[in-house]
Amino acid sequence: MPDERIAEWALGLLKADVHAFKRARVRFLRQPSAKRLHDVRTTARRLRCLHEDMHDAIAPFSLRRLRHVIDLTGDARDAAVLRETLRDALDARERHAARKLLRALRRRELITLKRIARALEKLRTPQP
Amino acid sequence: MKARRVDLSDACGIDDAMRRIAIVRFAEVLTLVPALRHGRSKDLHQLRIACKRLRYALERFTPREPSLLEAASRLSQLQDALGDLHDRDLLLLGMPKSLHVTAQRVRMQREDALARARALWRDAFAPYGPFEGLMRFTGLGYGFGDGVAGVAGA
Repeated sequence: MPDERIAEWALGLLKADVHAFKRARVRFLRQPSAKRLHDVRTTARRLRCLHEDMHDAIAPFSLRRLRHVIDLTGDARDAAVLRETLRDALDARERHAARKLLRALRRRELITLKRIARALEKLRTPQP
Repeated sequence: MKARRVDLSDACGIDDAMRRIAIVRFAEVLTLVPALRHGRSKDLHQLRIACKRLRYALERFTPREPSLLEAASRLSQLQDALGDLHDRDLLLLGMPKSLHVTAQRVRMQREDALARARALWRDAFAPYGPFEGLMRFTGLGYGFGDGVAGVAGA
């Protein structure tokens, strides 16, 4: 076990990260938006990285559901960003041909957003 | 690449723990950096993830070790450039053949993002550059400023 100062420092970091994630989750569930989705994704990833870095110094907690949330938020983010990137790069002569892909990306984003909300409702955050 | 485990079991104090984490995460980045030369999508994606892990760790340390702030900021820029590149790779994968003019534009944007990432990486190792504090803190990365990072001539 690492010394007490390290354990205390790690606990402080964990508390801060869990608090940030809980806050982002509540805000997203109250009113979903692209910005709030980004916050959920970022705070969840920070929490996972903290777990990886400080594995020896913090009480163990399961990352299974948190990983699921990270994967889902990644899917939603990818769909939104790909749609925007495609729109920006789209040649005017190919607008018609791109319609199907743009619609599919939008559909993927909306479906994933619903799944994220369900996953976040089920998720239990670690109790530092 | 899965995050390597950091051994903190016999670390002596917070500064030592921070140094051990930074060394492991910086070493992961340095191992993956040849991806900037060959430009393969999968390896560049792994490099982006390694940069993110290192950046998150450094951002946690900056209240105690402000000399790491510039490296964290440079890693964020590098992550953005690699993220732009990854988005274009994903888009190109799902694009139908009928969008060939658009695909050509997306490929050019990808090349721009790669050039941006290479420049950010090279410049990070300049004397008194953004990685100076990180190199001093970890003792890693010396020699990379000479273009040894696998990016020279890219």
